[in-house]
Amino acid sequence: MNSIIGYYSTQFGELWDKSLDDLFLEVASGILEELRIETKQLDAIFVGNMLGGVVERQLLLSAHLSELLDVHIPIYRTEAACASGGMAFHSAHEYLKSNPKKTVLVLGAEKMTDITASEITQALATAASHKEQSVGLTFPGVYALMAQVYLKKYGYSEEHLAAISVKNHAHGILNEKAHFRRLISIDDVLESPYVAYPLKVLDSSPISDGATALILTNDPQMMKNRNIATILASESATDTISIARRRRLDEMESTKVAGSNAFKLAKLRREDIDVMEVHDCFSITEILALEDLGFWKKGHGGAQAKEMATYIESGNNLIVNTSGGLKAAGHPVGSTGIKQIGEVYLQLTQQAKKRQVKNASYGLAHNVGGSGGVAVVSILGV
Amino acid sequence: MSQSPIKVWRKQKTDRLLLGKVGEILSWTEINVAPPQYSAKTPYSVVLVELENGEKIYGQLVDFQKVDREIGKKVRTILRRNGDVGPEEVLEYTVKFVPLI
Repeated sequence: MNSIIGYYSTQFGELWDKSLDDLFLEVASGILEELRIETKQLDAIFVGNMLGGVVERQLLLSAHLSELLDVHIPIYRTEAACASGGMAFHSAHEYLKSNPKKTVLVLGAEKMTDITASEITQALATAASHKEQSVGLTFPGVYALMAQVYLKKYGYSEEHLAAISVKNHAHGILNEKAHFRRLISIDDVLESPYVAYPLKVLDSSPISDGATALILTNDPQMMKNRNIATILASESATDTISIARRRRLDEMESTKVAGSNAFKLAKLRREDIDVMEVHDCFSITEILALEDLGFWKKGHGGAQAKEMATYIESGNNLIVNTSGGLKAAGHPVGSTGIKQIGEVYLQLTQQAKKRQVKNASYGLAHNVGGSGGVAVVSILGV
Repeated sequence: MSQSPIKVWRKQKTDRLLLGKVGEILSWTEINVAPPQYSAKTPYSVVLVELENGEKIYGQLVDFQKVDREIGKKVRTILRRNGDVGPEEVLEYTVKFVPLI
């Protein structure tokens, strides 16, 4: 069985004194030291990064990592926009399935705050189709088009969306690595300026720097005396780059397919899941995720969101985004997918400190690239 | 990054096929934070429209009253200038929408 034996994260936020290389080095040496693993025990590295080529004008990140870590092993870089981290994890899992007795490092890192808001908006819009970009549609703009359809079709208002951000900020204050650690109210969200109507600043995940790392292994020797979570499934699915080419605007087909395949493979039911990290790049995205993963009926998500049904103190059996989600923990895009898996790992191995969900034995992570062009759904168990 | 004149030329070959078409707004948004090419134009509205032949296309909505910017409202395509370009760059024209009145 492929297992996770450790997780490490840098602080998320505006890290002005750190470059992309600094983040890579901090997170890689951090996890290796903590687990007392030497680089010569690693067989490969998988790295998720979206914007190195656009923001830093730097590609061939594998050679960067070779230099930084003084290794000569294979290094695979994945790019799937905001699902770059999830795809790095998924690829590492696939690699281990066909290679016995191997141990790999999975990294995600993103440096986003060295450029202006307008420039990063343009950089992120590269994950939208050419036609979307050519009419001035931004990444939030594409999600706004989906949100408009959802709100109108099911009779919800901006207040229903706002509750997602309020809940995730309430979780974020419990996470010492989070970008934002303060409570916000429904009114705070509603009074924040629009980015792309009906989505406002406080419906949106922030621009963050940060890096995360996991060690995965299928070598029984490496698992001894460690906190282990087993990977029961990691499935990915794709969809059209343009939302105009999709059958429906109120759902994500890629999430539905990856989710349903993951549950089949893990042989679990929805009610078996105790904790979950889902992709909340915008408030609407978390609602669509819970519906498309099969936890809420289509169209019921707005009402569930408003009741804060997945809040850690709700008393319910499914808690979502204990890390604070992308919204409060921050969204360094390439590292987000790794952070989600890492948070579920911490929960399942009872290392989540103040935000620990009691008796959590199965967890799910859901990572989306672009406006749903890629989805990765992974299920872990202990 | 400047816009290649070849790309503009290539795009306009298909843009002309979209002129004079009528369709219905499937969704709309108003953009407040935009890439540099459109920054001076914020806020501007973008619509996703289903044309009468079933094709779905995006475009900016211009010359409208707020009452016309709703899901289900009819619009028609027109040719307008697209975004800002530098003094040495090719002016780009593109398909936008106006309300069908």
